[in-house]
Amino acid sequence: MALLTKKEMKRIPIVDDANDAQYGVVAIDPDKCSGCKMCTLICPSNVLEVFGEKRERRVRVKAGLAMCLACDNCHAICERGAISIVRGYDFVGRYKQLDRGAPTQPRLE
Amino acid sequence: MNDVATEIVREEDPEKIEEQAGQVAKIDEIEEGAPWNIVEEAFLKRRSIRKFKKKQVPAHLIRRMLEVGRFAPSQGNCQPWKMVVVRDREMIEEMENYCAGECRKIAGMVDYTVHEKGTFARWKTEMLAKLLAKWKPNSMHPVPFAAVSLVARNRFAVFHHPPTVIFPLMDKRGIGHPEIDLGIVGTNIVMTAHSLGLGTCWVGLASFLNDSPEWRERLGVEEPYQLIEAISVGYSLGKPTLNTVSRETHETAWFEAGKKDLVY
Repeated sequence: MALLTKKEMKRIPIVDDANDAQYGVVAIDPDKCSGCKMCTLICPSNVLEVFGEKRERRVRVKAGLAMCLACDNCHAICERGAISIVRGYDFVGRYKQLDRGAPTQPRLE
Repeated sequence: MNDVATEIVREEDPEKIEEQAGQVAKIDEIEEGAPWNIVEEAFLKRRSIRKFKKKQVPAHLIRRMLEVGRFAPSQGNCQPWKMVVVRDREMIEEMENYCAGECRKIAGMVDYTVHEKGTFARWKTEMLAKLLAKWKPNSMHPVPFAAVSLVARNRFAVFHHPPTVIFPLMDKRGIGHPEIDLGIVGTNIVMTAHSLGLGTCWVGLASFLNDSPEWRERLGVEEPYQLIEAISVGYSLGKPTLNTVSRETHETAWFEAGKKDLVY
């Protein structure tokens, strides 16, 4: 028994094809974001950027291929609770995620 | 032999022992839903740090980390490791440049994302990427693939410019699975650093150094040792441990009372 077929194990996803690869998704609350830039500095995948001037400055996900690895470090460093991941990454074929539930904060019960 | 053990027990102050135990938690008294204790919280709030302050970490703190590392469990107590510590900024930059150069070479061959779809360059790089994935499927996972691509485009660093790098070298002759033991000694080091207010990051791309005869000689990596990972250490920028993060749950098979449950 195997969770992936031999054919699936041989399939290598194309990383910039939306049918093959889903990346992490972050939710940003523009009302809470102050555009302080900390999350853009520490993001390991370099997918965040700030835009706008002065008080209107906010963070957003860069246009184009944004390969977010859903580490949630942006959430960990955010003093205003303005950003967090809502979905992890997944791929087809060999690198398909198995037996996972949704991203969850540490649970006590 | 027994005499020595008895002596040690006798010398300990019973009140002190109780006080120390209480610092973590009195195991019998933990109820479901009780708040995370100090150790649990340390594990939950450890993050991989990729932005460091310039300030060097005092040598005695690094020694402290290595000392806790020394007491990591290992298969058959074989302790299949040897540490290399680099605290010379220029040397760290040279290592960074070398590894980034290797990333550029690989990206040049297989990073198809920089080429327009339908072009010959795209077709060629995609073919090579798939071939390489057959040979090294774990290294060619899309996440390290993206990391190599970012490093090649100067949008990401290998070591993240830390003031100190620790290489836990692995003795290939270790019992069973020495990689596991390396992971455990590294966890001891990383968690000690976290408890001291320092930031760390595991650096897998550092293993390029292992394939370079020049770097092996310079770092003193000789057979049967292997450089498989590095740990960058420094003071983290900002407050990266302010909030806990979300992580996916994992299916757990739970066997109890004669039946099997799947829990997440």
